[in-house]
Amino acid sequence: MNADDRMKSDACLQVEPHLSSYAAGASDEASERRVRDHLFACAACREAQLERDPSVLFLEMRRAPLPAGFMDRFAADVRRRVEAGERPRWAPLAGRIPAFSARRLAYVAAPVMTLLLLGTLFLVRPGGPGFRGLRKPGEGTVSSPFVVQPGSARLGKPGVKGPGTLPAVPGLPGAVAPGGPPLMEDVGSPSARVYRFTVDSGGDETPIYFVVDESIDI
Amino acid sequence: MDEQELIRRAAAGDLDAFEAIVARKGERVFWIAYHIVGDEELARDVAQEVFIRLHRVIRRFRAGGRFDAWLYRIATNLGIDAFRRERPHREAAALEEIGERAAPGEGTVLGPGTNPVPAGSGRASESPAGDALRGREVRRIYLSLTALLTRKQRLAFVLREIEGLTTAEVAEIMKTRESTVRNHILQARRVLQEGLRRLYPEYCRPRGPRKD
Repeated sequence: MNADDRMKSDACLQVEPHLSSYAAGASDEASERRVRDHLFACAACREAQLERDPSVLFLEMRRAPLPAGFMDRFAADVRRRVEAGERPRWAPLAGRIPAFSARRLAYVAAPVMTLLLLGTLFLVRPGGPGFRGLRKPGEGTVSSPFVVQPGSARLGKPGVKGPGTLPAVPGLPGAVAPGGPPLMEDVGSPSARVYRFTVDSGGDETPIYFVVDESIDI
Repeated sequence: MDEQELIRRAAAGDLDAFEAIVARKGERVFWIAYHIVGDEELARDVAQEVFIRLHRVIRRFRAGGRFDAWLYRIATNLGIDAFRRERPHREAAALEEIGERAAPGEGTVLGPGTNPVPAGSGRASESPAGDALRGREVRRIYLSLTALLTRKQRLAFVLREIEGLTTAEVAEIMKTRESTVRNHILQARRVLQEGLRRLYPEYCRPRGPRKD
């Protein structure tokens, strides 16, 4: 056994106790690094470790020496492109415009966004020009084509006809007062209340039915 | 010349200083890109883009900062972007071509092509040609299996396991905690171990006695 073999053997023996914990990912950083570096350098240990941890196969992919002149050509290409003033090919749009680098854009956008937010809050503050008010109970109106007079009879008891109109237009049963709300009448039904009202448009009456089923508990 | 001095001069517009930085850092940047994108030509493009971009932003580098981590972060980001963008177009053809093109010294990094290896044998001769062939097979397997990894697992695995950076350096590049990096690597290794055992069992056995 020559000196090199002896050294290699010693290195392998030193690493051997740590191989199983390395495979399990249970080594500390220093130990892991030592094992990994040894496995990279020692093909025999790497082969022996394959059954326990096949992923060491990829240590073979560590850097190989680059061909002579590769880096010289590479550096010369980069310099040529830099001297030609080339911009990065895959830069996003903002990165292509020097005035709009990401950091500058952030410096401009942040105050603008803050001003927009403050302006919006100013406009919609209570009493401000953009404030539309809060509706309190009882306030406001609900628009409806029907006008129910306070105290008027409840519409549509089953089997009972009438008053059934809303509102009743004296002297014009079944007709619609010009410009007034449409006529509504209870047409009756044994199981539900059915209302019909008509919409008069230039003499063309269109009947519309409402069916009210009180058995449905909402 | 001191690296910080080179950076300072490059930031001041000294192209010679910048070229010296390229010469110093280019190899590792190339390999990081290569191990991410898996294609020599694309890796060279990515590495060049890294330095073109570096030239534009080097003035922003704060003196005393970790230049390597900053540079490798640019490299990993561009590598991942290129991998996502080019993979559908390049993957099929590039994997076959790796190591087969061009003559030695003409920019071929991975060595000349050799005789085909018996499919699925997992064995190559112990000649340099056989080693090159095995290397090509290993790269092919690596590319197929790393497709199963998440972006972060892949990055962590490339930077620490293959490139040999420390966990702290990888954490700085990935802007995350060391424990997270270790977790990513552990997960990546498990996925790769399982994939190799299931799909390439012939590579999970020792090849027999071999002289180093």
